[in-house]
Amino acid sequence: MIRIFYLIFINLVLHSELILEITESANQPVKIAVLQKNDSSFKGQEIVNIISNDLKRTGEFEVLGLDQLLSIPLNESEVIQRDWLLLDVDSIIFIETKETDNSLDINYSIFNVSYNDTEDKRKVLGLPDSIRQSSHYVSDGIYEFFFGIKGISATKLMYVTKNSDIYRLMVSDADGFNEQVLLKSNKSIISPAWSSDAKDIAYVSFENNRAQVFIQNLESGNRELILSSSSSVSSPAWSPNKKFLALTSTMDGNSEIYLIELKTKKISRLTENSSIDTEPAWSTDGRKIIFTSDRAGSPQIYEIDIRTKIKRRLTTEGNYNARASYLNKNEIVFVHRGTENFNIAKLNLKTRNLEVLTSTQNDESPCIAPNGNVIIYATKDGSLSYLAGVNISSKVKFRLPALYGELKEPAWSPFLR
Amino acid sequence: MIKWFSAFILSILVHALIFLIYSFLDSVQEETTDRKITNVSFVQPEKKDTNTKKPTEKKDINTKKPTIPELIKEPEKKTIKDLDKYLTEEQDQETFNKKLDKVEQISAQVIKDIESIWIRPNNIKKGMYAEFNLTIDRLGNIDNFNIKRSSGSDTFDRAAMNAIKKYKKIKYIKNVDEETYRIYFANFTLRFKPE
Repeated sequence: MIRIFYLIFINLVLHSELILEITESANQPVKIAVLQKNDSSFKGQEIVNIISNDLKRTGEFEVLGLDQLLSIPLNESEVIQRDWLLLDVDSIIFIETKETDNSLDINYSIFNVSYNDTEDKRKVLGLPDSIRQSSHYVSDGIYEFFFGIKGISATKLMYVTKNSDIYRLMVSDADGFNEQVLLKSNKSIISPAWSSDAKDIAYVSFENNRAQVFIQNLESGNRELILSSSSSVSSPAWSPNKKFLALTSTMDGNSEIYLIELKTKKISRLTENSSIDTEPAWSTDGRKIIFTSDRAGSPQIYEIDIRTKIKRRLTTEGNYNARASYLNKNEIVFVHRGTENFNIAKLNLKTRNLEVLTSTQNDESPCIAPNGNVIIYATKDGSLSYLAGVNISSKVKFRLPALYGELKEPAWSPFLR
Repeated sequence: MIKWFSAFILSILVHALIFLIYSFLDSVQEETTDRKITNVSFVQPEKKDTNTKKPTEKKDINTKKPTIPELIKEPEKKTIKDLDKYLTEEQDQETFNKKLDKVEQISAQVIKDIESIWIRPNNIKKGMYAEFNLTIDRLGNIDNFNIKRSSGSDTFDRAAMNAIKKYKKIKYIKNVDEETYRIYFANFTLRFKPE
């Protein structure tokens, strides 16, 4: 909505001040070009390509290809401003690679076309064998320069694939490269979760014919069964301080939320009723947990204060609301069914405003990027299960390439550096 | 006998005269009250009382007499005297309103234009805003701009400045008169305040 504010005319002739207030912004992306600086090399071009793809994937940048440019400057002094103004380019990113036997450093500068001047210069130090990761850090630095929040190119994704009845717990870079298998099983694997320092993971495996929660160290590969019980244990969620794991168990005969202190293995029960309580998720300050419960007849989201045990119902719209996570202090994201379709929705706990974020039909398992601006979720197109994403600020939706028959249960890592 | 008869006739004449005078004055008053619609409601009951309380009504009539010409003449005199002044004021107001309309139109257009350029960052917090002073030349070129109030975020301020820098020129300014340009557009404030 546009509003114009006029400071009322104190004196018609002598004095008046006009204030124009801009409240809406363009829905267009930042238009840039990413170029190698001074001399071009194969490795330099690889880095430029990785950065360009990272920025394109955000949906918040339009990256021009070399064939779209009117001139290709080798450095800032060679920029012909008129050429770039004609293309309506906002900035040119110059990438300079310096490689030695032991290091591969990337210098990058952001050249503002309107000002015809360099706005920022930065450097990422890396190792020769970590081109992709170093390039991702450059992308994240560029993203933060323009949008004020951290980028997520240098983070990782964990997910479960199913191919020929073999389940694999996989981890990859946020762009899908560098895939690694963490666990292979002919029984189902679900609910993978990252610890806050990204060194450990937790997941549910059915390898012993019942749901059991394991935690696994990513560096050593060592894994540990949490809560050896004959009952079902599922939905692990690490506390932000990594000291507790919230999980669901039927150890007392009914599905309830429990907290387990990882050091002492001390268990405390959070919920107590005859209904199903499941899918716990921590608030960012670690003081509250949201969970799904059908105590009101249909699955709805509830919140419990860990200290006081006071509960409150958060969702009221729709006959199915589940698998919630905190987006921030005042907003939660969850699977929502208003009438027919299962979509990913966002609820503001203060204003009660509910916003459906996706337009696909069978969405599940939403996970939030560590910068709080992107959500990845599993969805289905016929028999094909794949991962899709939505950028909260730009509303851009995207689909991750599906290499497997089934790809689901995504979990986004925290920031890695 | 003749004296008594004369007195009787005189009495009739006096009463008739009083009646005529009262009737005349009453009709005049009705005429005035027709003009002042708000007075109609209380004039009618008084008319009935005139038959029963003649002496008091006479006093009422006398006291009202000065108000009658006032009611009729005073506004007319004022209107005639102030007519020129009133017309001038009205003309000024009309010109002023036209100018305001023009200012408002241009302002709305400028907001729309900048809105289509400004790419806002994602680190916006509640109540965050930045203000800039803009100096515009007579042709509408943004001669100069400086930050009046920072949002507290370099990224936010930079994105807003980029939008101003990219806008370059307010093409509508050249069509406004000198006074409107000088008062409103030579210097104005641009506030970036996302909802």
